[in-house]
Amino acid sequence: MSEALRRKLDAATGAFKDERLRWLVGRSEEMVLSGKMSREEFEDRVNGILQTEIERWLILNELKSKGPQTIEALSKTLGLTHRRILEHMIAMRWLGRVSVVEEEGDWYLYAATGAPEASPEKETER
Amino acid sequence: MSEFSPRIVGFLCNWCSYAGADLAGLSRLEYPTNIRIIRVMCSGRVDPAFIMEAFREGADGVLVAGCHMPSDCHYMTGNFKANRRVALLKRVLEQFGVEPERLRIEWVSASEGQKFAMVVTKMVDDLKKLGPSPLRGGGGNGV
Repeated sequence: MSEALRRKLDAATGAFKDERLRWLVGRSEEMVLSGKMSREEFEDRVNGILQTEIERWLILNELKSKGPQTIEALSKTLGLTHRRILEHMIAMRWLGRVSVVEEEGDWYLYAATGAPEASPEKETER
Repeated sequence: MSEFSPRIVGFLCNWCSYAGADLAGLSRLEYPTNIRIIRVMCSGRVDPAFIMEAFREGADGVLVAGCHMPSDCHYMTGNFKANRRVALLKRVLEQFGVEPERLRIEWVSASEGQKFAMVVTKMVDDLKKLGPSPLRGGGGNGV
């Protein structure tokens, strides 16, 4: 259990570096008080973003520590569905956090790029 | 077998809680020595990554202590920020199978040495009931 937990804590540490999440948590009271969204709706959004970021960091840390892997291998290690990992891969390829390095049978081998993430301004330009 | 002695990392704000802990010492109040204190300028300075790192390194519990809500914070909103972060982190820890009671936030002013001693004593008692952190071989809540 401890190794899996350590992996999750590392992923959560990475997730909390996410600017969007930090901004959202920092502005939570103002947003709720301004009536832009209810507390429940706000908490749902934060939980959603946090969950997504934690899963992405789990994948990235796995790729960084063990080298390029397929979605199949990641799914076995992390206990996430193929579909969920594929969704993250599509998003992270777009953000430049992972890339396809080669094919292994029917699967793509993904690697962490280590490249800086695109800033929101750059994202809107694409 | 020796009794389990929890390890607690305490992040205390410079202006209120650290002064409260100092007062507890100056007043010769007795409290358990299980806490290792890290002084920060404000409870709002405590990044969630610090807390995760403390648990990752084997802390059985983490205490964040700051100035009383709503208006004692010397930086105006630091205690609010700390409160929101801790609430979020408790949910994350629960998801990971770590008891959220291992993370605690308390408001201790510079004049509340007695309260600081009580908070630490209570936290040590609670952690003894919970047992060691799952990262130190404890069970956690098995999620």
